[in-house]
Amino acid sequence: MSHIPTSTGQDVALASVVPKSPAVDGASATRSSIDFKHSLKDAMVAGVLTMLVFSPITNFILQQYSFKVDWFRTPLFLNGISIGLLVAFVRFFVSVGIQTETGERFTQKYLTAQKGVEVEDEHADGMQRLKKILLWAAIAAGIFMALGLSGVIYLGTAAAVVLVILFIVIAMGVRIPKRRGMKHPWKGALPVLFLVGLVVPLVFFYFGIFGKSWANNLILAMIYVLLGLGLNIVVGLAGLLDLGFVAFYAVGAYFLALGAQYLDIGFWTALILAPVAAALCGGLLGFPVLKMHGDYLAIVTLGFGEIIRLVLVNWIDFTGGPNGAPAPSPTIFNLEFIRRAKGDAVPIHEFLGIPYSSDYKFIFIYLLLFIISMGVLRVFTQLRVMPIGRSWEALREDEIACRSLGINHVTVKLSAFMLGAFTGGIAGVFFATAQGFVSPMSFNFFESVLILSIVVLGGMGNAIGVIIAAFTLTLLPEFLRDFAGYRVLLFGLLMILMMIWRPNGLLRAKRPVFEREEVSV
Amino acid sequence: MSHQPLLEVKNLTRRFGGIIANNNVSFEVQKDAITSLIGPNGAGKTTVFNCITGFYSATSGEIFLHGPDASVEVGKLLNRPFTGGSYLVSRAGIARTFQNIRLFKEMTVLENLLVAQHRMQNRNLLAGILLTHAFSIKEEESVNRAYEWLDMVDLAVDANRLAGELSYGRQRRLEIARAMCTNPCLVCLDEPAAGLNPRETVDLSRLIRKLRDECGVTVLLIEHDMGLVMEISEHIVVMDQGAVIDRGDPEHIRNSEVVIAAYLGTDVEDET
Repeated sequence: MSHIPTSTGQDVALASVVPKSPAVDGASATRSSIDFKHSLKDAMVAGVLTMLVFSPITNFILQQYSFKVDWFRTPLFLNGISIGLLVAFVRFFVSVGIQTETGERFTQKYLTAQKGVEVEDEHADGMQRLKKILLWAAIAAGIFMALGLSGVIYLGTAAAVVLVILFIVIAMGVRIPKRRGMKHPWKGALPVLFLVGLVVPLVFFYFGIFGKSWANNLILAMIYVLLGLGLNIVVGLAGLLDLGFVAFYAVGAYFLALGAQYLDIGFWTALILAPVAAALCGGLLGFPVLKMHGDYLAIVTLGFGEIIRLVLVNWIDFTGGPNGAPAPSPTIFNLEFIRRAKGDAVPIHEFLGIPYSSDYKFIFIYLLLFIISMGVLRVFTQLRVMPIGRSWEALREDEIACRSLGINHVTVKLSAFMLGAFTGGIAGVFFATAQGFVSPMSFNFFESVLILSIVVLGGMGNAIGVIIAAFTLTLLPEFLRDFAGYRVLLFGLLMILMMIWRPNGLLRAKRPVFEREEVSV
Repeated sequence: MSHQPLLEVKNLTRRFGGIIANNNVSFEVQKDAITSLIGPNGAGKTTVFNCITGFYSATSGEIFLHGPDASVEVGKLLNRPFTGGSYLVSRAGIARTFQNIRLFKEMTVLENLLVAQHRMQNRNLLAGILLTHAFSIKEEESVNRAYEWLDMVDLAVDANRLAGELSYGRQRRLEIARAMCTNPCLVCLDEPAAGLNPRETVDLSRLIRKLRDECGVTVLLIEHDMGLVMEISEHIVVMDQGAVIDRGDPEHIRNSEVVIAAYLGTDVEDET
């Protein structure tokens, strides 16, 4: 593996001598034996401090005008004492673990790497890396399935987690750019994995552990994956802060709903036309404002997002206003997901001769969305190693230098903006069809913020990071449904921890390696 | 040289509000020559540069580039309706570097050069996404050309490192290589020797000569390092307080009284 950690700007003088390698540093450092006493002290301090902080919050219960102390408050998750013990326990093992060789390597590689960008040859020893990824994915999936089967967590939840892990693994393969003359490092494994990704949800569905509710959640999560990928182009690659991204999402969703209402277009027509309409909106907005940058652009886009929402709310005759508008379900070759035949439509279960279930629609949308998300990821991956993708990133780095190199900054920005909007449009169509209903409430400013935090949390410009962040931010509230009252608290805690440990996002942006040998002319 | 000059600056005036940064500046840059623009701080050299490369539009006056393909006037490119802009100047064949280095710091050295070659690549979206043969050929060609330039500026070992982590001298060389990758006929170097140590400066002068002799580009540079300027320039234009005070070959400039006065601050009238 050729990891070359890099800094931006700092230690310039040092860096010019030899590329530093953390693996080498870690191995050569002489390691003293594990200091258990130190670890124990660490654990004690951490535990006591945690108890001191949490107990007053969680063990004192306000009853009318007085406090009641409950040392054994259930659930244990909320008990300060148990949290303290847990923290001490975990701290001890972390402390010991860090002193082992593996732990040291881990900290060297992941925790001390505060730098923003890393150059990595994605084509180097792909098979080995694939094995490692598959191993970790299998372990994680196995753990969750075991938890699900033993009844610790709902089986449906476990199935959903497995599907998410599968999605991420496949996405990791898809996001390795193709180059002519170089085989994809995963070789034949990627198509197989892709098929597995399509089959596994069907298997889960067959066994009845993957139904409407989790399919719907995953659909929503994948819609945010699409939105995240789209905004990633605008914010992560081209460096244009867009606070009104939800507008394009709304255009896509309303295109389906209103198109069905007034023009009688179906899901598939909308899937092709709505992104185009959204991209045109992006172009329309972008053309006059893209000469601005930074804060000014953010304000204009924020305004645009609000304008679209206000139009949707107030143009009651056309959009249905706050009452929303119904959106049609998808069809497969004119087969519809309805219980009884209406007009000349044929319900899919009658055609296939299987009993009716309202889950079919969601499973179908899930599979379709899976394919489309992978397709979008594939295209965006390829864009990054194309002249246009490079121009976007160059523009983010230095606009003046770009102009000095003959790059038309307005068209380059516009293309990023339109492509982002295009993706937003696709996501919108899926949102409308999955919900069966659209209303302006779904497209408020908070949505834009959520999409932006997905991109920022994921690591600007890193597609896998964005995907993981999208799943985390959309599914975490579902997993934490039992602790609904503490949901926002945990969400905030997660954000703070991220900003402390990973200010550059979950994963670092990666740069491709170009070797001289690979060129044969 | 008898033939037409490559670059002609005619009566260039640039005002910033009440300040006249350039007043009636005129000079020529001969083809295949190394021309230097010198002058004390605040003389308006960089303003001239920015006008030539299209980052400022001239208040009045004209700048003609008589390139191999066509003659263009820089001001007209900038004021072209809708599509006008400084990027057109670069496309016409004027490349530049910056006084304070402007690299794409979070991209690799090689990618910096690939960005610069965007006009020679296949920019068809579909071709790139489907990875057609034509696209790959162009891509390989540009990687090749990038490596050639890296060899030229002696940075090939750093090809796959981030531009931002190179040392200062290397960043300077990379910026020159990047400017050259746009295939210019005139390259404008804004203080290329600033911040370099004496050895690096010697290397730089060799590199600039090589650009002219082997790559056939004309060089226009702003420089404060008089050793470098006197060594490599064929023609020197001296500016002071926004106006050209003298021009000629190094020998002429070395003995020019107005130039010495401008630099040393002696009053010419008093001495005579």
